Amino acid sequence: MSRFIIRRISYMLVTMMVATLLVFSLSRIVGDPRLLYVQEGGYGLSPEAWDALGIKLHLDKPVAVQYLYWLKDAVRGDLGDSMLDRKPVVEIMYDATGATLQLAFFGWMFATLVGIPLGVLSAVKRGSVWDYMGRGVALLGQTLPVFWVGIMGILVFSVQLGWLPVGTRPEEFSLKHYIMPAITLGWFSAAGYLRLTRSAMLDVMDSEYVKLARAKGVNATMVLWKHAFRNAIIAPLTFSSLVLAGFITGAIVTETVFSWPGLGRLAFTAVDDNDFPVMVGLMLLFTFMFLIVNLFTDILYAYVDPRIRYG
Amino acid sequence: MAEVTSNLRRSRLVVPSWGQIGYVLRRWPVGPIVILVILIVVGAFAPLFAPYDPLLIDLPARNTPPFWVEAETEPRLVAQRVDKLSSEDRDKISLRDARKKGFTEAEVGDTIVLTVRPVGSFSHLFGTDQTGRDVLSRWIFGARVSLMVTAVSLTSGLVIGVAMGLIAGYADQIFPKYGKHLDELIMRIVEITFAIPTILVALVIVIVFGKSFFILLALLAFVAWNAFPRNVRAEVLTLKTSDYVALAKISGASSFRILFVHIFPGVINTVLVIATLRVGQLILIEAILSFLGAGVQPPKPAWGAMVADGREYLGDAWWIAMFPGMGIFLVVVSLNFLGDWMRDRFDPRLRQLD
Repeated sequence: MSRFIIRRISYMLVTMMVATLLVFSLSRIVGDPRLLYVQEGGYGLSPEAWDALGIKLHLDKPVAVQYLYWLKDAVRGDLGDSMLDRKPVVEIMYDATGATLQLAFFGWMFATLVGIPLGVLSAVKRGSVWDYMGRGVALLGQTLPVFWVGIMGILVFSVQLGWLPVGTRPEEFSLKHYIMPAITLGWFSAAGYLRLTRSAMLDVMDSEYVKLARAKGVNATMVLWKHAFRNAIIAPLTFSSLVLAGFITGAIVTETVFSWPGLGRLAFTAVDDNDFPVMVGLMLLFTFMFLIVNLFTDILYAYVDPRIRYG
Repeated sequence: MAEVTSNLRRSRLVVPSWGQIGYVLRRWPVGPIVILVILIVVGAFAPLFAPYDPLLIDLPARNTPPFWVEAETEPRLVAQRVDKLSSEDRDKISLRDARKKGFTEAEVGDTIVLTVRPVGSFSHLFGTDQTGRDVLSRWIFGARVSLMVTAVSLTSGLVIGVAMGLIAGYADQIFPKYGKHLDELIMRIVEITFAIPTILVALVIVIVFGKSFFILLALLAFVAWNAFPRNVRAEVLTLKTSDYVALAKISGASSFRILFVHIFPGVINTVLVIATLRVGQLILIEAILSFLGAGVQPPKPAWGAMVADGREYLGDAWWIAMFPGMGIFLVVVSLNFLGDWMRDRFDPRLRQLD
């Protein structure tokens, strides 16, 4: 088990290195990296600031050395200042993380609470109305564009019916404000959970040991929850990394639609303002989170299912 | 006698029964194919089908609803302060009514004009947007842009990805010395690209190189390529142990000839299935990038960007955001059905993909 964990961690470190190399070479590919800090038309950077930036980025040294300096700063949490308000990137990201985590939590709750039960129901009552409903929810979740779901939600439930607020996170917590953003964010993942749970349940329900349990007269509820469900749940568990991948894209879009003050909206404004340092910070942060979640999923999976460990 | 009846039956079969039609509908993805063919034809010949120039601004006709929308029975308030109207103007309302209707800052002397939203007409089937551009024409040209972007990026991604898969799978034959390492390297790179969130890399690249059409194509090709190598490689690994490859080798064919003439045709099924399943994702990512303002640049019409436009005018003109979103949905759903069908038919082993 420990060998397995070490292998996964070293893989994670390599990937993180590749990500930093990628970002760094992107910043140097245009020639002088300071050009990225200059706004269109040449304003935004005084000659003194230009020189200061040159010293800070160690532009007099070879590129490999520049990378090491940059990496050292990045590891210490210094990713430079944002171009718009000259605040440290890390600080800006820190301020926005809370909103995103809250939204992601509710989105994930929605995805799990809708996807897994509906998947089980869909498999158990195969061919029934429930099955068609479940498959419909899954199909729509995977094919409707996330931003459009959010906007149509606003149109129907805010503009026309007036049931829910148009968007943005309130200062004080209110569940009403979370309903639409969480559904918008979570639907895609709910669809994934649903499909996986459904096919895993169908597989397990068809297996010999479930048939045996039935044959020897175990009652239906016990068969379903103790024998079938406990084995079927492993598949959706491994899906968590894909959920997170969906959440990263989803968060950018959802937060843009609902003007949610989180990391995703930060990415949107960074693109809008050509704010390179902020975007780099976001990319590294999201990659890191993605890798960490992947690592934990892998370990959890290996713990639950020994075949993975020795495979 | 028996022969005669069977002949009769056979001749009657020429007219398909409902059961047969149902059978064809169930067996073949007719709906998705029809939708996709219509969209491809309309998109490819967009200038022929679009009733207006998609960039033509017509301010007096702005925010015209789609054709089926009828006149509203109750007038709505659209402007807050307008110059005084004559006293016999029918639309004048009392101060109290104005305040009740939401104009809390209205004062004595202000005139509030009530207008009725324009009625939909057949001259603009999908209505017009905030500057009076015809939504249907923009929708059709948006389909064209989406098709073109996806076709170009998918093709380039496919060529790169398949080449990588072929090389990785056959590397030990081409380069006996370091082939194993080359294979390992390619597969590691593929693995790593899966672990880095694509959309964020795309956004960083957009900031570095600017927002241009060419960059968008390159980005989407980058998104597309990594779907192919793993499965193509696996396919090559089984094919290269087959007898006909051994025979080709004995008769003196070069490694490249074996790879491209003998092995490649065996991979095509897999590639087609993966490509179809990938197109939908590419269209979604293109739409997301355009929605975020990092993809197709205005005034060029793209579905994602049109939804972003329409978002600002939801209260007045829901149709601006509605139709392009439905377009994306239709295409992606059709591609999903088509892809699933192709997978089941041509390469059922790929089921594990989802």
